[in-house]
Amino acid sequence: MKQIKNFFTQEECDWFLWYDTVLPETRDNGLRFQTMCYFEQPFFSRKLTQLQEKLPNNEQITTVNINHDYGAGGIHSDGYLPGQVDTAIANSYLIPIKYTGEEPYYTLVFKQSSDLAITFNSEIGLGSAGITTYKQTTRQEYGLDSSPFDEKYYDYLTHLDYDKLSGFTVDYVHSWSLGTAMTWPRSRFHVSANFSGQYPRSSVLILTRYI
Amino acid sequence: MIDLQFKGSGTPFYSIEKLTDTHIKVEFFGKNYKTNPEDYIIIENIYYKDLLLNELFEYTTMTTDNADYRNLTNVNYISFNGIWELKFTQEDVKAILRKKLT
Repeated sequence: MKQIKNFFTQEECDWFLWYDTVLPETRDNGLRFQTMCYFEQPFFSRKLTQLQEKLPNNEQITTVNINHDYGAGGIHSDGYLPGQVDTAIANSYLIPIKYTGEEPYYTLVFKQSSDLAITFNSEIGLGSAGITTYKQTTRQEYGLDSSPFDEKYYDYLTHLDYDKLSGFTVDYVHSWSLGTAMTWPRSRFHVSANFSGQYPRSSVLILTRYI
Repeated sequence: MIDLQFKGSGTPFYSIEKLTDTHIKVEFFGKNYKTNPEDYIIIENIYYKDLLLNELFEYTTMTTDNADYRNLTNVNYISFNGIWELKFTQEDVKAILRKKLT
C-alpha cells in the first residue's frame, strides 16, 4: 500500500481528459461515467509503453479505464473476472486526473480480500449501481463475521449503512492528490469515501498482473 | 502534437513547420531529378498526441514541382520536391477512432 507522487504530470492528466473526449463510448454505471482506454489496440502502443515504464518490471497492465465519479461506490475487489482465472493478479493504481481540492476525497482499503472480482454493492444497499462486470456477493457467501466496524472510520462511509460494514477492517486510508497514484493489491476490498458530487472528480484506473 | 516517422534513401531534405496542434507542413527539397531520380522519402507513421493514427494520411495533400503531379492527396511516398500538408480537426480524430472501435 503506497502512494506514488507525480505518477502523472499535469500534461499527462490533461492527455487522458482529452483522450476521453475522442473515444466513441462512455458508459454510465450508475455511480460514474466510465471509458475503456483500449490499451491493447495498436494505436495506443506508444502510450502503453509510457504507462508500462512507470510500473515495476514484473507487472503487466491488464486494464486501463477513465472514470468520472458522481457518486460514492460500494465495497469491491478488482480481482480477476469470472471465467478469466488469473492467479497472478498484482496491483491497482488509481490516479486522480481531475481534482480541484475543494473537497477532500479518500479511498479506503480493507484487510479483507478476494482474488475474484466481487462486490457487496447490493448487500450494502447500492443495488446494481456501480456494477459493470463484477459478481455480486453477500456477507454470508463471503463469510464476513459480525464484529462491529471501527467507528472512527465511519465518517468516511456515511453513504453506507453502519451495520452492513460489520466484519470489515480498514487497513489504509488513501487521500487523493492530483497525479499521485494510490496503490493496493488488486485482491483487497476497497471503497470510495462519501463525497458531495459538487466538484469534478476524474481518475485513471490501471490494473496489473505479475509476469 | 503531430509526430511523423520518416524513412528513405538519398538526398532529399525536409523541414517541418508546425502551424497548430492539428496542422503541419513539411517542405521536401534538394532532390536532383537528373543525378538521383530514385531518391525518395516515406512517411511511415503519423502520431497525434502519441496515438498512432495513419488514417490521417487521408487528410494530407502535397503540391510538387512536377507539372504532371502538381497536386496530390493521401500521400506517404515522397518522390518530388514540394510541400506536404496535414490538416484535420478533433472531429476527424473522433471519426477515426469510432471507425476503429465500433
